[in-house]
Amino acid sequence: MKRPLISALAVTTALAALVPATASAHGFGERYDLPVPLGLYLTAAALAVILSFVLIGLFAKGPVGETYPRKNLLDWRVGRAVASPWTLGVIKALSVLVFAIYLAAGLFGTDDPNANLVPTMTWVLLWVGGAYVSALVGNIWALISPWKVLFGYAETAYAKLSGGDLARYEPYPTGLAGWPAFVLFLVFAWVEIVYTDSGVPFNIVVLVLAYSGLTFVGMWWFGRDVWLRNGEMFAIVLGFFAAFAPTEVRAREANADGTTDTDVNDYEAYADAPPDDREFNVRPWGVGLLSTPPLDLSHAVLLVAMLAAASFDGFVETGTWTRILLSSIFDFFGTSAFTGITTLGLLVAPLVALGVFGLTAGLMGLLAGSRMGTVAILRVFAYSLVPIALAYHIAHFFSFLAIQGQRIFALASDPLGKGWDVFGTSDAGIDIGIVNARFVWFLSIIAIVLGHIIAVYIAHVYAVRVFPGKGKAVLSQYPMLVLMAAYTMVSLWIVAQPIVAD
Amino acid sequence: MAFLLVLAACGGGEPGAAAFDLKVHDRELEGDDSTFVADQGDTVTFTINADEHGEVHLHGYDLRHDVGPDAPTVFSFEADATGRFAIEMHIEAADDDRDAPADDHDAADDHGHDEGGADLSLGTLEIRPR
Repeated sequence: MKRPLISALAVTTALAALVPATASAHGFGERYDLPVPLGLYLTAAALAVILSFVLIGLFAKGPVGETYPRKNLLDWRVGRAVASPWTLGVIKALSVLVFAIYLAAGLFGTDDPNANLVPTMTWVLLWVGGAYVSALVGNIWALISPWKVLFGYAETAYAKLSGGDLARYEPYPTGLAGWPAFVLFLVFAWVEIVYTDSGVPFNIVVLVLAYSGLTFVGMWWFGRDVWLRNGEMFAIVLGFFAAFAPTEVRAREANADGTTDTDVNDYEAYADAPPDDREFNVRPWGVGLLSTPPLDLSHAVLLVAMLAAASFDGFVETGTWTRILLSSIFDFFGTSAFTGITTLGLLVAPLVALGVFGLTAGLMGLLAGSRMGTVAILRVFAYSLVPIALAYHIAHFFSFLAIQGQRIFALASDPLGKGWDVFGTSDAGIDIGIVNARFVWFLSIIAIVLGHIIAVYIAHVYAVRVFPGKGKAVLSQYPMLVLMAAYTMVSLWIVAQPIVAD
Repeated sequence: MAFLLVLAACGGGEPGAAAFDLKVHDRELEGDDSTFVADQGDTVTFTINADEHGEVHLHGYDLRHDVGPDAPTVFSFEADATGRFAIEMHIEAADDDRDAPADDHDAADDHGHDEGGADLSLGTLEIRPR
């Protein structure tokens, strides 16, 4: 009886009325960002390109070692206190408590996305904030993942009761590798970008419970750490960001022949190592990316898919995507095509990214005269794209995190939206003026240009390391430079567009 | 960071005033303009003439004012926060429309719109940094 309101005021408004999904692209939570002005956008683009060539000229010398300055925090009393089993135990227990409140909020709390803890916790704190913390502080998820902690509790309890292992430690199929995490990431990205009800607390928690079940089964069948490395998508994705982080753990392991190995960021080895063989280091940001071993193919594909999905997510919020939908796709297929088209886009974006990256890797191999093969090159260089992704993440989400993140103060007092006031902060409002647009603009372009330069530098270091001959290594970097410049331009272009879907 | 803050803090001009007249007719905003631009610190005044009852909601600043055909609605505020803020008009469904599930009201309506509830976009307010 009621026909949908089609207002031709502006394409954006028409789309918002037609497609409720775009009104909640991040599940909920409005964006108030002013796009980066054209002048700044062009300046940043030019800077990125010029500095790339300066860098290649500047650093076209000898190989860079895998060592970097670091300081073991465990040498200090404060560091030992922070990393003590007691402190970590309290943090883990708190994480489980918050997880329980989160589940309760989704199951029994209000269905108003802004008055319920679940959407803010999921999309603002975990997804956006979790990546910030992982990259800028350290691998937080390796510590607080409620699945990891809860399974650890269950293992301890089981061992006390029966004296055996809870996990079955079935051999993990080699060919399966990280593909479960890859598939789960695509599902997650679909929920984030396409799923219309991704802001509904109950729906989110049902999905989280299903994912929890799967994660527990995986940990029980294959062993906790095997599943965390291959199937627990959040651990892997946040781990990619954490490779940039200024903290790391190391464990020295003695081999049978008397030599020792050092495992970097191997939390299983760290937990098993005697205290004297442990290091909890601070290091400069980004240097961790200089010593990452090549990813296996499944993890490299996951990394590239993550970058592509993040860019696609930014792209669907722009007016350009809205115009494409309105001008041709909706005319042809009707507005119900929104889900299908966006899903298709989400699947095509990683394929395009992989195709472009694969082509680049192939060209690099040709120019360097290397016999490594395209896939091997892709596996070595995948990590070097992380700084560009991180920079985009910072640029695109800074004001969102600063504004929508403020909701947590009120939600901490009233997580279920039942009118509670546990900490006396339930009236804490949101200050939309907390960050000035000009500040965000400069932060965005500085982050993007810096991220680009770091990425170019890291790729260069690997090129010198894996390709024979300095001249050819430098030559091999031109395709990579074009790829990285293109990726950086995509990031800059997105932050220079008005966000029309909030 | 300090460099950023200094850059963010500078900028010129004295706060001024910006006034926008919005006319809503047949559930559409009259005129081509749907982006309204003011500078940070300006006193922004909206005058809204609507041919039916509803509530205008400026997002972000979260200002809500009733509008209707009887008299124009005028409201002002100081635009302290930069950003892009949606302006919407929420129209509640007419009572008879809700009570009578299969009436022929729509067909008889020669105003070009039905009496159903709607969220109408009136455009975007952009507050640019000074």
